[in-house]
Amino acid sequence: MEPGSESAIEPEDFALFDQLPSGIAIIDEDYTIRFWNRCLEYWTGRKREGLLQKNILEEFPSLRQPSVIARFPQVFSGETPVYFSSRFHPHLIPSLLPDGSLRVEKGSVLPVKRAGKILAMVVIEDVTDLNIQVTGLHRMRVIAENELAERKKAEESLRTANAKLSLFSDVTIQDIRNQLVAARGFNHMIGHSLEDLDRIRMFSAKIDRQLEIIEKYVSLILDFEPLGKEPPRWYAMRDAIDQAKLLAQFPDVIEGPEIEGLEIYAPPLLDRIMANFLDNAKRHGRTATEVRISFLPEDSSGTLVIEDNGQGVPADKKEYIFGKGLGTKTKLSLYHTRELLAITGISIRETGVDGKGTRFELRIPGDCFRTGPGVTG
Amino acid sequence: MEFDEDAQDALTELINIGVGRAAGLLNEITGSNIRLSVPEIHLIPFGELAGVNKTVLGSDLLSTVMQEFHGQFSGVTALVFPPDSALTLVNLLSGEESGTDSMDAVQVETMKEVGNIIINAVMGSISNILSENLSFSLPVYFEGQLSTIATDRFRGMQDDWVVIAKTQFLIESKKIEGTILLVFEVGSLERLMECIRKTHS
Repeated sequence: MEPGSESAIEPEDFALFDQLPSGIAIIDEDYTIRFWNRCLEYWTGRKREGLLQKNILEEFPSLRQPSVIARFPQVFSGETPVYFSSRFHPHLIPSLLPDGSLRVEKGSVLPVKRAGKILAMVVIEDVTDLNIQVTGLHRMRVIAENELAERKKAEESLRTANAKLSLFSDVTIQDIRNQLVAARGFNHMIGHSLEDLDRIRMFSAKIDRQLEIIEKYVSLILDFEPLGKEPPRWYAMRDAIDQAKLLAQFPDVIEGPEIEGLEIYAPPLLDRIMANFLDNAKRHGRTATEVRISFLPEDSSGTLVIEDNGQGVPADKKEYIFGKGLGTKTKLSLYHTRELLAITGISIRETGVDGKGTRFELRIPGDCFRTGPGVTG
Repeated sequence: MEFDEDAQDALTELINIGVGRAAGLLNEITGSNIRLSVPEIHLIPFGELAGVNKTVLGSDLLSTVMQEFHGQFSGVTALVFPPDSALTLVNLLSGEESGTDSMDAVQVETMKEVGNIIINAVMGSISNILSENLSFSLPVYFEGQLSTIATDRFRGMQDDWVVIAKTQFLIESKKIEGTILLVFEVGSLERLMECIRKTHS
């Protein structure tokens, strides 16, 4: 056989490539397979003997894609090697892994001069594990970033809560002192009125009133204590509402279907806050017989609506009701409710129509609510 | 050494043809609408490469895909980007958002393919005018300072010339600046220019 003739290209010439852990095929300009190494035999299940002298494009049509085939002429002209990334060409020569999934490949095609001809050497590398690892790392990073963001949010909320708590404590302790001074004053007056039983009874009643106020302040301090200790957390609204119904002894609550699966990121006491709204409907709504709770998700925020069918709030009192107040022994004032919700950026306003019912709208930042299957919109 | 304006214009045209061909292939592969602007060409002595300030290349730190070539003229062709631009380009081409500020191994592979397409198209366009073919290495990727790249990667070319071809990738209304560097070994650019002159005369 003349050296340089086509027949001088024998598979044995490339036997060295059988030792390599990469898939290697040698093809000539008309895409005839001249060599097919053991690694490719193993990966594809196609024996060399059955593929030699066959057209690789017919055997592996994936190579016919315009973005692949268009680059082979560069190789056959002897110019440049061509590189195929796993991102754009993950299955150049498709082969199955033992689990039935497709092997992820990257490839390169290099010009090889042999017997006076330029052949193309197709080199396929298995990058399945690399891709799995990179995907896993991406997933882990996303999880870590989410956790970090959550932690930062909690820390920020806790800082805000502590600042508010400190302010409440300062104000409340000052209020308690004021009440103590007043009580001492009344006690002193009793000392000067020992002969007058009516005056003693009057001052004693006033002292009782001071003690009652002090007791409320102490309750308030105890109520707010968790704020400084526990960070805000995700509350399932359905559970918070159920708890609130029990606390407020107000079972007639109609919830929209979107409440199912809705979670709100809020400071501790959300159930108390919700109970507060129900209690408000009971005490101030007068004719209120039911409370409706619904949620309207929007692009960058969501609105939790709590409305009753009672008397409503006169237009000139809509802000007044959020003024600083002590609340009662069992409930927080709307002032405290507003301050508490503000810890996670939730704002509150009353938008009902006087005479037709009270409507509280709680505007919740986009990153402070998440929704489940029941939510539309 | 002086290069006449006609030869420089012809070189610009050859690079432009290659860049146009590369854009077509990138469109085919990615399914995106990619346009590559007409390159702006500068010729500088190799010694001045390290001093090319970041206003020319966009950053001191560069992401580089490089292929060596040998034959009638020899040297290195590199596609360089500021790292954040390289990452943006890969994300846009692959339609994925990595969410990090550095490339992972799969993204590096993608970048190597993009570099290979552009370098092959540009160098194919240039070598078409020569009677002898050039042989090329496979693409390699690395990140580093331009001064380090110049001294470590382009060894043996200290006495010659660099062609800087700045181009813009226009993808989905985003502009990404990239630069093709053709670094020639001693005498190679003269030989190329001579070939260009002969072809155009």
